[in-house]
Amino acid sequence: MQEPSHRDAVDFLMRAPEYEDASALEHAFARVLAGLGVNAYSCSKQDSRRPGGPPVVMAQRGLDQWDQYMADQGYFAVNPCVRWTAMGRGAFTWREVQAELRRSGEASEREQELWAEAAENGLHDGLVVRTVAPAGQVLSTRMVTRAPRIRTGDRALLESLAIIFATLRHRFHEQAADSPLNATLTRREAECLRWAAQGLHDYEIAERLGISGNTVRNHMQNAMRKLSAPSRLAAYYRALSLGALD
Amino acid sequence: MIHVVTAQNRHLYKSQLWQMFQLRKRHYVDERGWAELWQFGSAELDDSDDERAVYMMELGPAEELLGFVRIRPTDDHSILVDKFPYLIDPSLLPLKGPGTWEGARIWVESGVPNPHAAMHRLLTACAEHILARDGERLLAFIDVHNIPHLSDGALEFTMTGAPAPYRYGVMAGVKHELSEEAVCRMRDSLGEPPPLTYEVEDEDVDLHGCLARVQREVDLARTADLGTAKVDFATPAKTKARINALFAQHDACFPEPRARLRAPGLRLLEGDGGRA
Repeated sequence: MQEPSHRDAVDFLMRAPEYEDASALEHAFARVLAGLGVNAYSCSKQDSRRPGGPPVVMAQRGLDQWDQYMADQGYFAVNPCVRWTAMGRGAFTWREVQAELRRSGEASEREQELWAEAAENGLHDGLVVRTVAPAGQVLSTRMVTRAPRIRTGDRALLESLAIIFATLRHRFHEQAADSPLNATLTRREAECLRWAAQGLHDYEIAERLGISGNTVRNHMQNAMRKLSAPSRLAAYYRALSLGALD
Repeated sequence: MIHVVTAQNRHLYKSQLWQMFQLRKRHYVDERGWAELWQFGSAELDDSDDERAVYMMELGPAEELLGFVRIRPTDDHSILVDKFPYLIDPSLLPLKGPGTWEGARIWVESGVPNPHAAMHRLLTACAEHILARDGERLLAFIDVHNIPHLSDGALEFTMTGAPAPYRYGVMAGVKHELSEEAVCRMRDSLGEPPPLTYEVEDEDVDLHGCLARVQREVDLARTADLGTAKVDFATPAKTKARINALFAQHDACFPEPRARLRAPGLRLLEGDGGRA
């Protein structure tokens, strides 16, 4: 007999491709993780074409402050989990990393400070799952618990959840990057388009918005470029149809 | 073209089959450490490599193996259902039976230009073959870390139940509900015209001399623009008829040679525009 939390997780694994958008997927993933005692997660990708570049965070819940703190303290440079992920380890827990470093005697003072600070912030154990997307991007999912440790019995389930989630979330991320909606208009660009569609000249729009005529022209050109539209009117209708003026 | 190797034409693929079993041993046993698999010297075989097994093979121009996968109907037995029932949610049972096939032992040469596309060509070939035999589902059991490579927008595998740890990672059962639309999507995403598969017969090899030449003929026949290709119009009518019959099933046909490409000296068939 499966525990209810495991039942939910298996349901997620069996139905995950049916989620139609990234937010529904993230919501379901977070709910399933909460059932398994995981309080925070982060899913990022490292582009294989730019291995030295910063990872792109695709989804995150509950780890933003901690990550900001780690960045401020320079902890990312000494974080052994980052090293292990770069080395190609498939999945590992923080406990395993700590045990390995203790055994080998390689743990530095800074690393020990990092673990101590994580514990002080209620982040006691985590599972890091690394997987590789077909185009070579490294997808890394961190799942962190406030409980003393990730339960051994949940490990396979969490690893599978992370892989399925990262795969689908990455797909949504790529789709969004390819979509014209990615060309999100700024507030000013949208305002300029709206007024232009009502037949106002640039100087009239400039007056209403309290900006110069040149700035209006720049906003218009940016909007047309983002929407690949040949004219201002075409840009307006394209933005309207894509919901970019909502 | 993906070669369909069945019990009827296996004798034509002796060297490729032997190479495949050796590669399976090297990949699964030596590299991945799956020591439990049945090994026979330098080869790996199991009880599903019987006369009902069908192998999809991609061959290079010199008949060398570029990729393979095994599929098999599950109306008698299934590795996933019979050996790993704990990977299947009870709500999905009975998962095996007529119409359900099982895939295993997929391998793609790492040196091919796009290994992901090569893997998906093999999977599309499986789907095409199974659908042509009124199948509706493909099962497999895989390491969860391979799921991103197996699934993409066109071909979606879903898990059959809870995953389970095994000695080398985490294993899961996956299934894909087949449909003509999905296969069309897969072919479109690969840029492959239908049909992707071809089952070579003795006559083909008798007529053309070797597998590589048969493959060349079929690939030429599948190529949309025949005008630029050097077409061997001595292709025996019987083989053309078989290819046309296959095309007819997929609502496709030989393209008409383009008038602008009718260069002096290029022999063109008259009347039927190339159809046998």
